[in-house]
Amino acid sequence: MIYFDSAATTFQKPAAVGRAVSGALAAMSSPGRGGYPSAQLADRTLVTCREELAELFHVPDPERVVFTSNATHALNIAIRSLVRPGSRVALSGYEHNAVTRPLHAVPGARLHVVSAPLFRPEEMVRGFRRALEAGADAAVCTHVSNVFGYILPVEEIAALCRQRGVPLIVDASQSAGILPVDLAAWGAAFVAMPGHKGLYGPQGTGVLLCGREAEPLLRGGTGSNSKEQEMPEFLPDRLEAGTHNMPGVAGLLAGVRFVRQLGLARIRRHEWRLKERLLTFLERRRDFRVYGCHDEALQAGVLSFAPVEGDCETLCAQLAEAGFALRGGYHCAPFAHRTAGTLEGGTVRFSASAFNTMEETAALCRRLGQGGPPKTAEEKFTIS
Amino acid sequence: MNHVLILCRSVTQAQRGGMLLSRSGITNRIFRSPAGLTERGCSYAIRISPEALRYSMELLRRNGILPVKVVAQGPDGYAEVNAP
Repeated sequence: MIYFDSAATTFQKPAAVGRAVSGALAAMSSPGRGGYPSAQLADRTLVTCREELAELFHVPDPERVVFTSNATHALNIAIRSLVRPGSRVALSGYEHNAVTRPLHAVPGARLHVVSAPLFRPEEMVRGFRRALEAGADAAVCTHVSNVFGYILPVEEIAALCRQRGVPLIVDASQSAGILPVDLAAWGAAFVAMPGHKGLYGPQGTGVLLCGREAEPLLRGGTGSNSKEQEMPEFLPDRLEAGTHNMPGVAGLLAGVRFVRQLGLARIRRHEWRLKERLLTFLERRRDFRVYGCHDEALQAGVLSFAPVEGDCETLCAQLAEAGFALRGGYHCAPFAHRTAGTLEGGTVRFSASAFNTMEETAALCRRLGQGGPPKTAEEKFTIS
Repeated sequence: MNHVLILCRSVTQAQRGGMLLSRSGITNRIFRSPAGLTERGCSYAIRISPEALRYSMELLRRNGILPVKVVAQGPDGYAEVNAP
């Protein structure tokens, strides 16, 4: 199988990640719960991973790097910490359900969705300026759209939020490990990210970078202040109740080291070149609509397209039969599809990783070029 | 052998502190604080020699690691000492 669904999870991992996961299962027990060697090895691994993440994402204090089970968990903590019933929240029109569903669940929260068109960052900035001027208690912006690879102008939006004193949450789910993510420079309240995408860690890992105080989502044992019934007031303990996912964190540390060794710019350039290969191919064809941009500053290695005739899920099923893994549908991001005008049928999403090659991308192009438009779902599943 | 314990608020601070001291050539060991030394329940401590206390405290503070308490082992057990 040729895997092009890295926006969901990077399936191919560095060999060191698998070794680290196995090593943790064999040698680590619960961190912060004992003074014996297996617990202390877990302690050191947690601290080392925090320190390396803090360096990569410019977090002044490693204790402000909090481990979560995924980006959704991290975003829920961030939103719970900032958004109260009746709060006004400015958000981009490209947010994932991991942002919009927790916001929807806050009673009376008023959402100002900035629905600027794809690849028009100046319009997005103008929209956020208007939303903040109208009054906002918090702002949320994804760094890169998980559907379209669109790189949103987070730096400018962060500057607007700083000027107006509005706390900002950045969803770095698609950018961590690919683009510079800088908690200190942005002055963001929180930055959330998964460990299992661009950081090449295992599923079940996520990270919340905390620029300000946070409210716990879970309460329980932390291995500290055990006589007290309130959660500790200090990070990371305040947000890390329960036993840590040590195989996950050990694997994440190996993934982070892989990313730092290769370098963000090199990974980004590689994925962008693969995306460009497919975009150039699809632009020449009449049987596909494609949502791309040739400006490297505006699009990462994620590309959405759709057959002019037929539906996306059927095309994905046909591609899967031919040995290609791409994701069709709505990608848990109906806001993004509504903003881009693709809510009717969704799209097929191509998303590359450091492990994909130009030959694999060329093979996908050849497959997409075969035999004209795909059949519809109805034709495909009719029983004769 | 006499030693000093630097009590930390969390295992994260203790491990960070221990790794920092090790990188600076100060022999240390991390372990759970003896019961009775902490009012708030479980905590971790960095064990060092009394001679290393002054420099260790300087290094820890410079790196944002703020110990909760420092105790020294004496003939009657542990006694709190003023951190230099």
